[in-house]
Amino acid sequence: MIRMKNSVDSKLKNSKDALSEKFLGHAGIHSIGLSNGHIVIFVEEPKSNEFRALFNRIKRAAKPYSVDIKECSRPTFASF
Amino acid sequence: MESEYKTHRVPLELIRIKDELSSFLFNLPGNDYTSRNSFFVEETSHHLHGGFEHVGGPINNVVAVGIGLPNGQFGDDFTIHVFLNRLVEPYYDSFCSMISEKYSELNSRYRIIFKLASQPTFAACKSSMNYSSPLKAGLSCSADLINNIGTLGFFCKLRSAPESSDIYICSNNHVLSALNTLPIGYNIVHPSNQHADPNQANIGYLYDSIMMHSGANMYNYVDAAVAKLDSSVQYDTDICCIGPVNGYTSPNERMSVHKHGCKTGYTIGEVKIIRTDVQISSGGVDYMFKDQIYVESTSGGNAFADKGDSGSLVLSVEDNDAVGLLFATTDDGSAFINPIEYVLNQLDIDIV
Repeated sequence: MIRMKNSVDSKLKNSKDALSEKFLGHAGIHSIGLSNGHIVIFVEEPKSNEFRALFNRIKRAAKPYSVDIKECSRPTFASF
Repeated sequence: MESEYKTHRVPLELIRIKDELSSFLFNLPGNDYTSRNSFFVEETSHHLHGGFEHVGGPINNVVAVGIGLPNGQFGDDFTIHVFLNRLVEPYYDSFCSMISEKYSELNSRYRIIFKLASQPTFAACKSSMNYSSPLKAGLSCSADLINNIGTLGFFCKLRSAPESSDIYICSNNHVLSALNTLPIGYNIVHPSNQHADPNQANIGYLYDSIMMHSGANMYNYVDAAVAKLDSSVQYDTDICCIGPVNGYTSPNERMSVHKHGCKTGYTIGEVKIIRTDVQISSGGVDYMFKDQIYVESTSGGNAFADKGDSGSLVLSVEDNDAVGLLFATTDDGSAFINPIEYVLNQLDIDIV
């Protein structure tokens, strides 16, 4: 039984998808997602010069949506 | 460690109030049992000072009362924690008001925090890395002869043969198929090889896996595979320490979720970020995943997941609806999970 289907603003999702295509895997960015109407960028070292240089481009590309940064280690498969 | 504990000793007055509150809740109509519950105590030890009174029942939905720290971190003021297994009951607000009014002493001196928690069970599945019969979801499994530890997510049936008595188990591709490297028909064992359990047994064989694509522009939606369960294997479809799966649902931010994995056991977390595109590196190869769910622990400093929990089914705490299949973790114990709808649709299976 499916209890509910949650929908996400399609423009917001498209904006996130576009950012993923451009920036995922660059400057320590390993994940890009959505939270409460914002785009969230997961990055290993948000203070690195490489990321800071890229972040202005990301913010411009994401407009009109805001972008939050989440410092987070790179994920790995959860087995060993 | 000793000095830190002394610094944060719980006031005796708070312990007394907690004991009174616990007795009050225990004596509410509908409580059908009470016990000290060692499983719950162990799993939430960061909350514990003065012990938990385990109370519950069909009317009040209280599962535990204890003393803890608001965020599980030292430095905060101690608070009374009341764990409820549902927040949707119509009498929830009046229930909370009743407690607050009755314990006005609490209002002036201490805070009460209401939290979601599943109904705790006895520690029958604490040994989730050992052999278990009947086999349960949430316990260890892996491909035979592969040094890999993963978790059996759930039991399922093929949508193409719903009337068949054949049962399958679902976990990650990287657990059952070792990232596409094992052939269909390969033996699946319980528990995993690394546990070196003398009772380890073949429980079935790899039946189907969703091909994992690597490379920058090759997106995956799931890391999933199914194995056909040997008909001689005794099994119980309940998720270890959680119970039966009621259905499945799409997540939203702030949804409380829980899981049982063979490494960290039973843990509770919260969906923080949805529709997450994520890059996972393994053996120098990058795998890109689209629209995944990111979950963080809500158990203070305890991890929601760790290596070995791959394949765990993540469920909503409120309804025990399946939310996703855990496949990746970060150093801080957060997890990425495949949306369950993608898993079921791509493998063409239903949870049993």
